[in-house]
Amino acid sequence: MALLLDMLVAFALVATAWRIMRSPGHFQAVVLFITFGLLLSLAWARLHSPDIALAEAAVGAGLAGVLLLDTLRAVAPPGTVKAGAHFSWLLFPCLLLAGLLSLSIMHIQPDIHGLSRAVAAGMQATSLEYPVTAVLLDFRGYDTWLELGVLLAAVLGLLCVRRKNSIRAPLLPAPAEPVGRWLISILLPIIILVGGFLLWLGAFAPGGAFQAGVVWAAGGVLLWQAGHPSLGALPGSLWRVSAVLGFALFWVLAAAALIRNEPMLTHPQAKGWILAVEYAAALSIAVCLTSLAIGGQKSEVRGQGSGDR
Amino acid sequence: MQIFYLALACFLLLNILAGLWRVMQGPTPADRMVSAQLFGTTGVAILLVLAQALEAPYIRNAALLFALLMIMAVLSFVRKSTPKQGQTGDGP
Repeated sequence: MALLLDMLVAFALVATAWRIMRSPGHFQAVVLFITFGLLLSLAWARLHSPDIALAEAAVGAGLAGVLLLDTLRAVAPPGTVKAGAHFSWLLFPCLLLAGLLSLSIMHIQPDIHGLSRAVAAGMQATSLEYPVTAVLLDFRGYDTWLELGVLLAAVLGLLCVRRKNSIRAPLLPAPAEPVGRWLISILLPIIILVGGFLLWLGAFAPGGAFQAGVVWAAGGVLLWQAGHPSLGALPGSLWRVSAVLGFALFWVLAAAALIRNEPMLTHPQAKGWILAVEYAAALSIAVCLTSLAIGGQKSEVRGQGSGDR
Repeated sequence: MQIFYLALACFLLLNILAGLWRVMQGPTPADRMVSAQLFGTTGVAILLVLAQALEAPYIRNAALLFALLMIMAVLSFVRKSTPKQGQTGDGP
């Protein structure tokens, strides 16, 4: 029965992906992509990877749908979408690449544990209880640091583009016709609570900074969609400080280790210190993703944005 | 009992596959959006059943996230199809 479920999930994934590429309308492709995220989350859950299932659920449901629908509205007014722009000449190279990648399965050792044994052996060296969080924040903190840097670079690029269009505010004014103001009082407390719950869970169970940050970012997007003035009322300096905080704390960690003449990013094994870095990273991820999701919207009233600041 | 849960998950997944037909056929965007929302509900059910079948309680958090956040796409969709927005979108 488990095999049947796996085959159904795999078939649904491939069929949806194929249909996304071949769909005649962009809106249909967007809806199918939301479905694809859901199926992907199912697949990760089935593969015993609740961390990735959580991340996929948060990104797929909270941010991707909004981003794609708003992008569709910004770039393709109804009626002008041209159908049939399929890259059929890409089919052969893609099939070749897929075949080569499938061949690489043969070279994977049948040892299914992978690196989990190495991580389990190193767990005494860290004060965290959950291996995935330990890898992300302790063993491979460098990668997480640079990922925060990538997010920050994307936000900087966005700010540059907006500066070029002489929009000074970090965020756009609320949409012309906000919806769901009444939803805020119901959903936002739960969103903040669930984000905090995932962050707290990350120390000893699946969850963590990224998932929590994405959930909070979805809360920010909800505020913006409902036209609530609170986000726009935040001072710009506070906005920038929270966007940089996660990256900066990692930087302080690296610099402090160099001064103490230790390898970079080794830190005092205090749980409080690691958790501080994680909480700051979650805040930065939330702020960066919110800026990326709603800072890049096509402005309806261009003058209003610069007037706010 | 595990067989029962997995069979239930298979049945729910078949429901999603059947619903994909409406996404492809659905004459209006609203039809497509509503079926995606129904997928969200069915997906929550599948994740909950899987959490029970695989004895992995933390999958329930993914179900919680879907239940909480699937409405975001609808909000964006509703904003998209308000008449005023449509007019600005149709402009040259």
